Amino acid sequence: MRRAAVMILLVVLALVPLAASPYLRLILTTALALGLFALSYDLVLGVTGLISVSHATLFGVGAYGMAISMTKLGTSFWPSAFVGMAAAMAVAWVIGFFSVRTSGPGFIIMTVIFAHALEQVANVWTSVTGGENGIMLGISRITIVPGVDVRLTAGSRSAYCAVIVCLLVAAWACRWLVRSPFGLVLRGIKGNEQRTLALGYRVSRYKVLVNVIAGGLAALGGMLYALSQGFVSVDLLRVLLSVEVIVWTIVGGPGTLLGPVLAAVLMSLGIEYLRGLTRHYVFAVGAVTLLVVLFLPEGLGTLVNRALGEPAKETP
Amino acid sequence: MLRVSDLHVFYGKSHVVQGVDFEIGAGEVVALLGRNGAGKSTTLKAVMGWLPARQGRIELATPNGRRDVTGLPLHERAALGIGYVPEDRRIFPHLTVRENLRVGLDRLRPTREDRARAFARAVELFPGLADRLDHPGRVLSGGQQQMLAIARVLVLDPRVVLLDEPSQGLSPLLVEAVLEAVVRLAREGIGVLLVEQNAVAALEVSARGYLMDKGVISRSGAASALRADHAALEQTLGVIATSP
Amino acid sequence: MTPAEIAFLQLANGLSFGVIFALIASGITLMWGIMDFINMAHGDLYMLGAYGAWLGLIVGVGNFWIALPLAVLGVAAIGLLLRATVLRPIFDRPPLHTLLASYGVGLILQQGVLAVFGPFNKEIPFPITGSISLGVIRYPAYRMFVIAAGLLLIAAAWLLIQRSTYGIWIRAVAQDRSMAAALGVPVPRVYTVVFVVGSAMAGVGGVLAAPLFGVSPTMGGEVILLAFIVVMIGGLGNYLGSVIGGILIGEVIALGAIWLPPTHAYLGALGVLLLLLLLRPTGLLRAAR
Repeated sequence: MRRAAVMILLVVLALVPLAASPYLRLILTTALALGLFALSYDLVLGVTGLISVSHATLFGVGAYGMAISMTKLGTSFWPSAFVGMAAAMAVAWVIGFFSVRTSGPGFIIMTVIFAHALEQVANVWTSVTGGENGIMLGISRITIVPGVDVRLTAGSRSAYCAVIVCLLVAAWACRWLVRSPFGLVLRGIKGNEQRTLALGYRVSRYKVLVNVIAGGLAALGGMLYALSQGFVSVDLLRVLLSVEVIVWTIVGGPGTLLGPVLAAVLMSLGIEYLRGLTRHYVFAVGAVTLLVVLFLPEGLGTLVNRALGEPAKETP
Repeated sequence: MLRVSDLHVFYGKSHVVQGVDFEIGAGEVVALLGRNGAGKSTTLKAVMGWLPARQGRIELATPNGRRDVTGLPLHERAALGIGYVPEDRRIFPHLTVRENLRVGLDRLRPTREDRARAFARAVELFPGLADRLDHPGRVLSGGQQQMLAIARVLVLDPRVVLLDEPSQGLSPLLVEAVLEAVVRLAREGIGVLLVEQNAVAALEVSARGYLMDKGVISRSGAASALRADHAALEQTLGVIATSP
Repeated sequence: MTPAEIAFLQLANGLSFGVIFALIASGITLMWGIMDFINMAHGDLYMLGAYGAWLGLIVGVGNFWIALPLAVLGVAAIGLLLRATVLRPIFDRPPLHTLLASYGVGLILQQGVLAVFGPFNKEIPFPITGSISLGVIRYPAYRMFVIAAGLLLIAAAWLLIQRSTYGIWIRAVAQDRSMAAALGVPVPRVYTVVFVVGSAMAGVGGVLAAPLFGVSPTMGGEVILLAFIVVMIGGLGNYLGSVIGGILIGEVIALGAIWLPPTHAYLGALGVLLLLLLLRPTGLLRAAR
């Protein structure tokens, strides 16, 4: 029954905006890119049980890596994308490496530190990052295969299709990963870290590795976000966004992979709507965060499950 | 002093304590015996409030009458006069002996004289602590930690004390000292629930006893009767109880 | 100025930053050690202290020495309010939830201040003018006051933690919460005390910092990164560690400012932390509770 609902939703998402206005396509595209971002984070929080507050850092570094490579170094699309991905994965590795060296709760604070520090770097290093204004990307001409060129502009159909395709492929890949032996270890870490350690697994390595893989996916989301918007800005790696993705993951249901995607899309659309209404939408983000923790800690998924008569899942 | 009715405690999905009833009178030492895993420790923890009880009632006699303490948080039950000495003693490792004693004591807002008196009382009961008042808890030996754990509870003038395997890991000499302390507690009018695997030793200082097996109480009675009931002891504890 | 004079000046400045960091970080580390609570809003409590001082001066009383205790009481009251309303229902939830809740609160506080007072930095005149001779240099009197007041408060808090009833209870709860409760320690009240005192200390930090750095809605965000670095260096839950770490990082920032522009000073602090993690993953100091 749920499968069918998801399928219908996917079909709707896939078809409807092809007929909608460019503006609508733009916000849907960016929302879906954030959905990909949330999907990647669910691997970290939902599957492995790692609380990282630095995921947007990877999202932003991926976008910036690609943008800087394209604009400052003049490389074409695919190499730039590679740079973005590699940069994000490298940063993810560094963050992971240092964070696992602290005992348990220190991990969270280390990610907070890295996230703040990198946000500061981006704010201050305006010569490279463009500061508040960011870097304009303009129109990107991408060669998918020799002979087939695609032009991604803000609000274009191709941008939308690109994001949908990437999201679906990533979702499928994550699903596969979670069910693989690697994914089993991750879930073991979430369920009972001590026992997984006792079984002989190098838990620290797995934590760093999942951070890197999720970082790569987040970078993909970041690059798609930037391409579909036409620019990169410091907003993409703010601590605020890192916290938002945690909220989306919780609301959507940690570990369900698709729940966080849905929550991310819907909630970011909501924020976008609010942003159009008032300057003080950040206030709303704070309020929503608080309200979610107070009243909806198990996410909407369990509420729906309970309504349908299924047993509630555990909170992270 | 303390009455427990129909206590059920779960550990996750496992029904560890399945409907247990018992009573402890003032000044009485009552033994709770059983094999490892019978549910004795869990029972104590539920009475103290360390673990939640799924079902059942726990009533304490106070100067203001019978008080139903089921559902009260840990610290409130302690304030009403239930003392607890856990199996692993749980001495505060980075607090000195004096500070360990003060943790519970200070709630009673003692004056400096009160405190001195309390420390003196603790030292009188357990002379081994005398030279160690300013040593941090973590450097004490097992036996000294056990003494401190009991003293800590004693200075609070509790009504009931729950002791979880106090003789575990101690040499016979220390076990004797601990049991002597238990007797002294009872003599001061405190009700003592003594959980022990060392059935013989426990029954020697107890007035009554309960045998616990797989979450239920299989046998209860006067200590002398239980001591003589070799069959029951063997069955529930797997020990062959020789006469003292 | 001669290099020696510059170095000495920065050493003194480092101490003035350091005590402020120590005041903020010790609140964070105590809240973490006692309550498993990562307070993402701590920087905003510091910010509220600064605004309290500004309000007290400009709008209300006009005298810094009256504004100071009022501002601190104000922040303590806000801390109490937060603890009683938002944080009470969730205090036994996993750390993720309390972290998110505190972040939400911090955002709301920040945005509230932004909406009411505007984004611009407000300046506060030094309540003590003039300078004192320190042998090698002449040092601003107000900064001397910050150092002295900061150290005094830190020492007073230390004494309370070591000797007073609540201090013993706080340490007992940090070491074994359930056993403390089983001995009758009123754990919820201890949490409240830690939260209110921690908030007040952040507030004091804000008041002391206000004449030095100005008052702005984002000043909390600027300081929180360094505060968390201090907490990690000193060891989570370790009061003494956060004091020493605070002063250390204060000096790193101040001495770093000789060569690096101030906006990059935090990089030095981060570098120290990362180096420490590489060399001594167990932290700078063992838990000296």
